Amino acid sequence: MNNSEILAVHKQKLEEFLKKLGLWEALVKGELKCHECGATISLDNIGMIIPFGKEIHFCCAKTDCIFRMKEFKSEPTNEAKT
Amino acid sequence: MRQRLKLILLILAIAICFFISLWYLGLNGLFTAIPSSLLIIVLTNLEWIGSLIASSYKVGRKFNFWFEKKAVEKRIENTIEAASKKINNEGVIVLPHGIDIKWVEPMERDAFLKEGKVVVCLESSYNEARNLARAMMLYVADDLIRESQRFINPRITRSLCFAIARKLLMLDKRLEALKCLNDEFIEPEANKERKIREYVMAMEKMDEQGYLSRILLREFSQLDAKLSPALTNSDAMSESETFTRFLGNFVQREREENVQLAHNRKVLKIDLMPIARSLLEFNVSNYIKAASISFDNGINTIYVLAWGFNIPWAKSAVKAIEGMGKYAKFEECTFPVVGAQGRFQSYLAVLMNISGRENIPPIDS
Repeated sequence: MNNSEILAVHKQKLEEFLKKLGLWEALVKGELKCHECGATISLDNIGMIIPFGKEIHFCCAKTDCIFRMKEFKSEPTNEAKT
Repeated sequence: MRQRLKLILLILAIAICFFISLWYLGLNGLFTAIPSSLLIIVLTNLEWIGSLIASSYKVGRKFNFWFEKKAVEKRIENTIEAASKKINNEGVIVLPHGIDIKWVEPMERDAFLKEGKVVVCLESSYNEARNLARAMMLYVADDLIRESQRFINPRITRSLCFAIARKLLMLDKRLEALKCLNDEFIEPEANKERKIREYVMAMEKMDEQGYLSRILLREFSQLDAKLSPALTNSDAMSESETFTRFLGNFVQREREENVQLAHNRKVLKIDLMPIARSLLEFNVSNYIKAASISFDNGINTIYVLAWGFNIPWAKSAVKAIEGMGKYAKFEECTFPVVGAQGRFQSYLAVLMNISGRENIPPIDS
């Protein structure tokens, strides 16, 4: 059985991870929004971090957003297009 | 029953192992009997051992972050692997892949963008239920009949994911995670869209009767093979919904209630043939006649269904239909189901049209 790989970041390491990406400040200030529903991303509701072309998107942990994001991420990225 | 039989066989194997070791080596035999018995226990309970290992990491989580990560990772991997194996054993491989959790290290923005992979946020191992519910949803949404998903109505796909994720958690008795899945994922969706609740309930009823994976998912899993290389197909999209309703009506019917037994559309051309004898009378010619009509209507698959004492009659009906030379038995199985009257055996045979008269609709691009 081939396995599907899920890349994950532990919540305890999230601060370090986002700091390295240069997005921690934005999270603390409440500037990050869910790409699908527009909800403000916080440590409690952060679901996924998605690289898309030259941008980084966030998705909250709501089912609806996860499903829509799944369709979104399966589309070709800008990089892939060029 | 199966569990009890497994336990008896295990005890027997250990007893034989002890007896042979003691008989052959005397008291020294104890030294070989104990490790070999342990080996037997490990080999026959791999899932339980996996779960034990996953729990054992929790001991060290206060001292080292490595244990914490392993506790999260192994719990998710073990639960999903064990439960997906059980569902795949029902006959159709609906979840073909296992799962590997890979922890990502902090990286620069450019490296993250270059890698281009989605990263999921997981909670600490103290919040196991939430982690399991979230990982289960992601896994099922990604892996469930993956190749055919593009032909299935998104509302049905979503309902299927909920029903399967619930089933997987129930199979592994993860009740807290199940509650979390209900409260955080399913309820908000079901409240927003009433039909999702109806479909999930219908799918659970199908599952109680053993038809979720054996009929619904079986038919859906074949859509890719039927319709590729099309990117999607509008008929399949709408029929995935009508077929779910059709099967839902069948499993939710009241006693003596007449429901439709044929779903004859462009893509999904299926007949259900429940076999029941009225009192002591069983007339196989009725079923031959019905199969003949199905054939004339271009039905591709007939599912012959029976319960309890009707199973031998169903087998003879299948044999008779095969004798017509129009349908061939593709597979058959018996499985236990629990109904209002207790536990009983259920039977299902899949008969396929052998004339190749499939009416596959034109491809949408």
